[in-house]
Amino acid sequence: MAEPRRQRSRSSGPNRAWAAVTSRVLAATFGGYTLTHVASILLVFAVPASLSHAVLAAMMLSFVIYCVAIIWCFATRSAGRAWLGMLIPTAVLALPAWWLTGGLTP
Amino acid sequence: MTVLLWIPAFAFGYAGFALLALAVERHRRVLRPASRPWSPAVRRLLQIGGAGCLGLSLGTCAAMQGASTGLVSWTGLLTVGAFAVLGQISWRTAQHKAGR
Amino acid sequence: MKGGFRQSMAWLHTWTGLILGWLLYFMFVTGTAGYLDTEIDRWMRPEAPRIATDIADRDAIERGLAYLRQQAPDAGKWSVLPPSGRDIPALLTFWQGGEGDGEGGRGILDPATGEEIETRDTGGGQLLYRMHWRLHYLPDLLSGWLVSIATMLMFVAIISGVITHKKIFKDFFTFRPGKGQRSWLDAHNALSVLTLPFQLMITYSGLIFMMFVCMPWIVAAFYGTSEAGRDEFFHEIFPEPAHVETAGPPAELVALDGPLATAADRWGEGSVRSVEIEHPGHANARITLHGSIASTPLRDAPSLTFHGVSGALLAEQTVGTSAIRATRDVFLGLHEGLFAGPVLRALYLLAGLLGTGMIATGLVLWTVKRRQTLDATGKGSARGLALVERLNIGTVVGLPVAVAAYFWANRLIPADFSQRADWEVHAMFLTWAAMLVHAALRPRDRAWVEQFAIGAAACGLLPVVNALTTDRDLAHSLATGDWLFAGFDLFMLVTAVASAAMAWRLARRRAAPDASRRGRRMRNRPIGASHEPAASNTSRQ
Repeated sequence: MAEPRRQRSRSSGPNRAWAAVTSRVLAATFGGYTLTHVASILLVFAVPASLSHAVLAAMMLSFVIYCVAIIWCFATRSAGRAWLGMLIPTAVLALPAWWLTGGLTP
Repeated sequence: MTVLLWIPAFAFGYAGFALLALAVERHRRVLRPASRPWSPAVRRLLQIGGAGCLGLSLGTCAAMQGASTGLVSWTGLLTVGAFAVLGQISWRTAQHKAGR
Repeated sequence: MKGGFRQSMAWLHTWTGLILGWLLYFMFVTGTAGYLDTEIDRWMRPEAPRIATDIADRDAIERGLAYLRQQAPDAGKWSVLPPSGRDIPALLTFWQGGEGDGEGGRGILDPATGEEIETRDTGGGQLLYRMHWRLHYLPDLLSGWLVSIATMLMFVAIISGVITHKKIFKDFFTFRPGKGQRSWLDAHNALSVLTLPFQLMITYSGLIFMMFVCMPWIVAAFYGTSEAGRDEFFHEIFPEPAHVETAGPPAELVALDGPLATAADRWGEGSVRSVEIEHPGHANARITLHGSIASTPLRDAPSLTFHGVSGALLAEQTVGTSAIRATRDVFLGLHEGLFAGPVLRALYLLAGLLGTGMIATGLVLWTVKRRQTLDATGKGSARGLALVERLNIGTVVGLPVAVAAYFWANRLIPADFSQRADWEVHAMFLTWAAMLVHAALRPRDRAWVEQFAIGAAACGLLPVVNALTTDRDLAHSLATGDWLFAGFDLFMLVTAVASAAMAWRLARRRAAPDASRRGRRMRNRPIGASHEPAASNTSRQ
């Protein structure tokens, strides 16, 4: 059974392989979840409707975003790239999201 | 009375998939072993006919239940029709092999 | 690059499908049963009388209110649902606690008399259906998250499955039996691709059902994490017009004739599906009439809210005012299929059964593939494979047997036993546990045969148990044209025959083993026995 592409490493023993897979799983599960939220929050501002309905729309679309993020994490060349693919967009999108929502309301 | 429309709706769905299957050379050999391979023009005609039948099935469902419910029923009929054709091809293939 | 992408999606499909595959199987079995929830309810209450279907809504509602006035005069909220097709087969009443009383309750009434229908206490088909998203025994929040995660994994499995299925059109009508792993793959493909619209819809709508549980922080970013913030959001999405928190001083509830007439004016006769009365018997009472959510896939209904003392129309909500709300409602409506007539309901059932088969073939394919690799090259985790093989047997066959046990328990547990509803469920899960233990202890191939045989007995004898414990046996049902009871018995008999046929076929295959399969004897050892093949590469764990 083919595995997601692994980066060439000096010592690619079986433990290295499982560490890479685990890393991708964590990136997809938690990194992807965070990215999905940040992206969805920004998406709310793009929906031309009242706030509650825009939030509803963003929630409904969030699963597509999450799915794409998960697929990226396993399709991309390495576990490192998976994490970068999650963290960089999250960081980039978090700034306008934070600013537009006036900081997270308590 | 309109509940009887289920019958032509299913028939169109089955026919549609049957025509689409016939357009595939591998399946033609099993379903119509006596015939010679279709020309690309005939294959194209079969595909258009098949798609057309599927469309007629959708139309029948919409006429019977309205557009939204009809669309849902149609997807269900597609499943049944596709399985019917798949079953037919499997059975014919087994017969074919046994006949040799 | 393309080859790499498809391969990584194959890997992703395999693991997202496997991790919670047995939970998804459980959800599919209970969900498919859910399309027949009220039918199963009726079967599990055989002493319930036949409900007359020609009672006017107005009369039924009045009788429901009379019952509530007697049972729960101080309740904070009353609900009355007159009979409506298969979805609401009797006159239903509910009440929620009022001031000083936190309890709620319900009464299932005969619409002709307004009397409670006395039947054995049972969760019925509704409970079996509810397990579909509120896993039994687990606290709601944990169950909600598990179901959400399983559904998301299934969504990823579907998408990755479609991506990796290179010949999705070429192999559309392909099924090659008798070729081992190839046949299992063909079966899994056929079951998945030919039902793909349903699988996509049921999964994505399932996510939307759960989205308030698993994506709450999108709401929190705008409304805060407090209870008040969440309430504000929900009240904006699901507005309750003219709603007043406090009940006010006692006052007489207005007669329902006026409101019902207004509803008949706007929506036509007989379209009121439910009546909700807040603060009945108080000054701030509100009467809300709802139309049917089951008429179209939209799963939304108009409502009229009246002042409970004066009868004045206070608010009206129409359908389809918000495209976004409508999108959500359509997803939920398609998932539940309340709008489905008998033929379409049969198609829903078929799709559910095929989806259950999709999961089962996927789980079995996983083991067949790895068993072949393990036997041929010694590569792979023998213990992991054995675990999956045994879980498969105990779930794919064991869970349906457990559902049959639920029905057996319904007939066998005495009607006056106070916790019989709970014990019907315990019987189901205890049976599932027993089947899993059996699957773990018996030699693998024999376990499949035996479980199918047990399944045949469990289903085939159920009509006998029914005949012995009730007066609605198959002969009687056929004679009186009682298609629900007759259909149930016949379905059990057909399932029994199919199950017996499977057991017989598998037993025959065992008796004439395929000599070219190496290590067959080793595979048949029960779990826990040594699995080390001669040349094993135990580098993977």
